[in-house]
Amino acid sequence: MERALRDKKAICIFVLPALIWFCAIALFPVFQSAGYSLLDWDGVTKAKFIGAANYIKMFQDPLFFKSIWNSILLAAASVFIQLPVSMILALVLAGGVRGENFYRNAFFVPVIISGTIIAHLWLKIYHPSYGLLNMGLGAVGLDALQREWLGDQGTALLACFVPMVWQYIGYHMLLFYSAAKSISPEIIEAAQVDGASRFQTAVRVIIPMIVPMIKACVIFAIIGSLKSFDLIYILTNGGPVHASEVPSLLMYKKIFVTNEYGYASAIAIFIILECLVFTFIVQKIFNHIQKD
Amino acid sequence: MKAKKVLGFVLAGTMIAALAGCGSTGGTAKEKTDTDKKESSKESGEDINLTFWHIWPDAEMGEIVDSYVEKFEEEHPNVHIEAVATQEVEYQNNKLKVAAATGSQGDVFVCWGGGYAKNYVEAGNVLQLDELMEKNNTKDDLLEGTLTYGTYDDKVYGLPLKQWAGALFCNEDLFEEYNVKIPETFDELLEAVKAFRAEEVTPMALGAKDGWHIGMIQNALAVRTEGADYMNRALQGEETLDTEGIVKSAELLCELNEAGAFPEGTLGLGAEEAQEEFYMGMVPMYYGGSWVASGCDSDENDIQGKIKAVPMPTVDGGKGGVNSFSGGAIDMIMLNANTKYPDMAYEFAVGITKYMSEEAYKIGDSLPAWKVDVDESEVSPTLKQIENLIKNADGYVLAWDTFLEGTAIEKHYELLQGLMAGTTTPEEFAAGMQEAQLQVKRGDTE
Amino acid sequence: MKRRSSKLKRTGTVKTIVLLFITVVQLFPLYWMFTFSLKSNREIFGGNIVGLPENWEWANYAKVFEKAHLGRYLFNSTVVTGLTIAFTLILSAMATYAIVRLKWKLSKFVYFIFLTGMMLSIHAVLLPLFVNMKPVLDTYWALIIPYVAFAMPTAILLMVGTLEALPKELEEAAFIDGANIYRVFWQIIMPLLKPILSTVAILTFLSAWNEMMLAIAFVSGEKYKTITVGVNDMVGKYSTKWGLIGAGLTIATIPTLFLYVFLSKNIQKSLAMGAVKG
Repeated sequence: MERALRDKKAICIFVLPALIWFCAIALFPVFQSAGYSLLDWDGVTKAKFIGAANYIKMFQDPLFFKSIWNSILLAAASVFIQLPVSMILALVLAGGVRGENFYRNAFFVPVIISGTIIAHLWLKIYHPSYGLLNMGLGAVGLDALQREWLGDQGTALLACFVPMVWQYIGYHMLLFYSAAKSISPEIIEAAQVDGASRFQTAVRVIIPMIVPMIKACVIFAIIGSLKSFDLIYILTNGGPVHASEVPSLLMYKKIFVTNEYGYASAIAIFIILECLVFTFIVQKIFNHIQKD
Repeated sequence: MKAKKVLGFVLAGTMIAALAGCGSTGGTAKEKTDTDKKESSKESGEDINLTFWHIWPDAEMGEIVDSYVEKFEEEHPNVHIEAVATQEVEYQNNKLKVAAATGSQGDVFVCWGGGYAKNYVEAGNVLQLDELMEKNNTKDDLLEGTLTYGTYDDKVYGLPLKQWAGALFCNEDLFEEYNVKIPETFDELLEAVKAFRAEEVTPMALGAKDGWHIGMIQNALAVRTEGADYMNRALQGEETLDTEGIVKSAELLCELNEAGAFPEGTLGLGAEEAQEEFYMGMVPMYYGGSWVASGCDSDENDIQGKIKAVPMPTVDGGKGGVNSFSGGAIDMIMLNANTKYPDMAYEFAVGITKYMSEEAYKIGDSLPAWKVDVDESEVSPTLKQIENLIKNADGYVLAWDTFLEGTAIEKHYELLQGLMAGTTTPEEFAAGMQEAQLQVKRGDTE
Repeated sequence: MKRRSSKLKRTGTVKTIVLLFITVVQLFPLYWMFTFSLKSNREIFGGNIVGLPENWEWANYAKVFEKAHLGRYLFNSTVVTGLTIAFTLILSAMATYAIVRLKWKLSKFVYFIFLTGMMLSIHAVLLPLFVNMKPVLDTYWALIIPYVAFAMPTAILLMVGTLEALPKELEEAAFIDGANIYRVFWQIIMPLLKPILSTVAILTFLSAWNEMMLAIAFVSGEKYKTITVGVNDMVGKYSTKWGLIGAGLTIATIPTLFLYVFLSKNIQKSLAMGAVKG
């Protein structure tokens, strides 16, 4: 068996198709982009090599820092609000409730619906004069809390976060749920025979056993936040006056509105590196936890 | 067995893609050759396949395109035309940009003149039309001045699809209901705004989330304060944008904003959302391009026959009079420099441009750019009003965002939103625009 | 004893109420999309945003089918998404097996390479990708190839996590029985991975079905247009006919709902099976 697992031919057959496909299509263009990031290029006319000038420009651009900061806030909201909610729902459902399947499917629905429609829905919810939110606040006498949610620089970012966090609660819930469900029932029964309550079982038995999935979800949530684009693009397009700017959107505008292809590529490379760094940190933290 | 086959196919696919990747690394548009073009255009009896990229996937305009394509194919049995429709915003921001960067857009394609197509022209991806125009005497059929923004370095690259002109659309029903006078001067406009506001009616439609929508108003005010001639020179970079008149135009916009002219939360509203309230007859005023006319006359909306189109109100002490307008011919049809059949593509391009020009005129989408022969009764009534307004036009200025290039466009939107949010002063606006303009020009000469 | 059970009942009721409330929140967009697809602009802008339609405008659906080639688009989306899922599942599972179970020096490094893929956003590589994909533009492959490439990292991450947690006894037993490595993969590993394969299938489906940027840039003609692009096309520039758009979106969403329900049953089944064996 040991020999079978070291069979070079088998390893190649298993790995190469996926690896070649992935490298040629997804990874190789990144190196092309890295090359572009050293150019002064509008994407069309002749490019000029300018070395690291785009990166220097980037680090002097206050807008760039603002967008990074916004995306980090979003990542924090995802990890500390979205994931705990998903976890609670997953554990409640996995612990057995009447209508478990129904709830699981219902909670997942927002994930199924495309980002475009989710965004349009929230546009209507936030609409200043006949939006659901302001109407609701008015109905319960909280007129003072009514806002121009997306049009106000103070609330636009928050207003974008809510639907983003909300939409993917069901996504993480499903992942946690499927991980919790794959724990063999004997282990859980054993804990309960020992007198552990459902809550204690969840905290002491289930959560430690699904740490790999938690790690995966934390990474998903962080990377997803750092790359977020669709919803903000439709809700505010980064406005008003860049209040809700995020790096992907900034990059998109640099490519498609202002034709700064070189600069946009530099931002793209930065986003990739940033994600790598965060993933690395998360991996380290979880290695530490798993060892304990 | 099956799995093996699939795998082989996948690998082949990957290899092809990988090879293609290697072959074109760092390849800009410069690589293309002109040889195949010359070879094939000589023969005329062969089968000719052309693609036409346009922006009208919706039924009304789409049918107009299809009907012309059909007609053209009947007249030229050896020609097959594939019309590819993409939604305008996606086309402008994504599809055309990606394709034109490598010269792989359709043989005939919708494009915008001014700053938008400049890069593609410089990169050699757009066919120069002078010889073909000469040969076909095309210029005789065109209205004067419509080629301006399709011309780069004195050479023509674009055929104008239509012209537009800006106007203030007023819902007469609402003006009567609240006993307000349709404004002719800026002061009257302010009064009207205040009068409607007092009745809790949103006076003007504006979706300030879309920078261009604010620009429509500020740009039109600048035509009033600074005059059309100066604005055209300034936007071309021959004069400064940091002038008192331009500061004034921004101030006037702020005055309107402070008087409550625009919807609540306008910075969070898109242009379409905002204009819908005008079409529903809830908002009395809307400053927009002549395309608004088609919405005013559409059965789907509630304001048919109620709309009076008037010029942007005049500004006391401004250099531009009532006969200067925002507008011009910026929507173009261009030819791909890589097309194998330039003659046939040109014939089709001219044909469809003329045809579209006429049809769009009828439905109230835009003013024609060609000398058209249309039965007056078929033309949209609101558009007819605009046509009467511009009879004595002495100058047109395009929307700034079609004139400007690259970074200056984004800066323009940013500063306009800043004005609306109160974070940018009118002085900063004018100075910021000038700086952005200088930066772009500097980049060009380097 | 009695008191305890009534307390249990009460917490049970509270739980049910909370869960039902969340259900309403989560299902709201579906309800909203469906109702606005049956309204006219007049009604929506007149203030009836969330209520049931006053006049049920079923004509919106008829108009959408009449105007756009929705049948064609649905077919295209099905082909593209179906093949994307098939390739993603098979290739990712194979790579996962090699990374987790097979013994070779570079396995960690290869895993890391795949993980970097998660950092990539499609916008970042749009232009180089377009240049590289030129030979297959305007075919189904123009979409399938990049979709699979961008779906594999997530798939592999999820599968590696799952496979690592699975006991090795079954495989070891199979090897002792003389099975070769391919049989072990196909007959032992794949069935073990079934629950996560269903999950990955759903996620891949969603990203491929709803993807718009590549679908617009890489495919030109009507022939290969996907439903998402088709629906987007209906959003005209100068008019926002919400009822029609809603009808289009509803039509585009129905297959996703069906597929989800279908696959989620599958998850349930595989979960139950896995539990019996494990």
